[in-house]
Amino acid sequence: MLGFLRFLIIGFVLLTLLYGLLSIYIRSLTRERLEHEWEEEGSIGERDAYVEEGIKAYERSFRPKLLLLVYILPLIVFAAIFYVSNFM
Amino acid sequence: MRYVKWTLIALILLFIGSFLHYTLPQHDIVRVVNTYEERQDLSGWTTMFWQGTDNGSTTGNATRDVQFIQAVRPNGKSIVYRNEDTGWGWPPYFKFDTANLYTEANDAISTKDNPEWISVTHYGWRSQLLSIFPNAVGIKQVSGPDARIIPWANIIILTLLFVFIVTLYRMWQQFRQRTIDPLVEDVEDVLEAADEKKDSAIDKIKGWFKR
Repeated sequence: MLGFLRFLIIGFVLLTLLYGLLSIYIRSLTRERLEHEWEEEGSIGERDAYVEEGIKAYERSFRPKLLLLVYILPLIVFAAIFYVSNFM
Repeated sequence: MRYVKWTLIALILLFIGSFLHYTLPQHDIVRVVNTYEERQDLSGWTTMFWQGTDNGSTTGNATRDVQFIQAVRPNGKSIVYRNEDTGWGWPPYFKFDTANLYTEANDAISTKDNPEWISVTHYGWRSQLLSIFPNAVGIKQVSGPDARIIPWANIIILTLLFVFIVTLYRMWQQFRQRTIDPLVEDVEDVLEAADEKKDSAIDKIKGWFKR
């Protein structure tokens, strides 16, 4: 049982690290995209305000929630390996 | 210096390569001839080629009984597998069905005259010198000694690994481009400003002596 706990904890820590990194990365990509959009639309208004608005819209959207797949997919993979290893 | 660098890179690649080669699943087509169980005294550095004792499935002794599966390859060479639970430990095969696998292996025993070809999925290396054995993970009956097995697991794992490394690299590039470079530019601006100040100060001092 201790082995299981250790597996869970280490897995959770690693996935959380990956989640954090990915979330920063995707936010940065979104920010870059928004900056380009602002320029393409003819640089109307304040750039920072435009970008912040876009970031807020991104946070409200469904897309950041997709990042939870970082936790869900490995869980599915684990279940699949467990099944194949022991019951097939 | 260049040789040192390339030797180091080659060593790292070699290490990663052997790690993957040891850990990823492989398939052997063999004929199972016998199984046995033997007391093993696990000490010294080769212990790492045996199952760890704290994986939630094996318990704590440095000496324990280990099951083995003896087999013969189509070319007549012999190969021996160990049969141990990986449990929750490394590598993550989550194998708990050692006893069942032992039974299946016994069921698959066949003679030279009437061979039954079996694909043994395993990881690890066999070394006579070090007395280490690959760990059998699963067995499956196949049509013949040259049945074709597509290593789907390896294809998927290596692809995912590649995607993961590329993503990490892209992340690092993005971080550098958007966080480090602007910082460096700021510092350069400051240095430039300081440089100009210094120049003007020097001019000033020179100015004193001009007359």
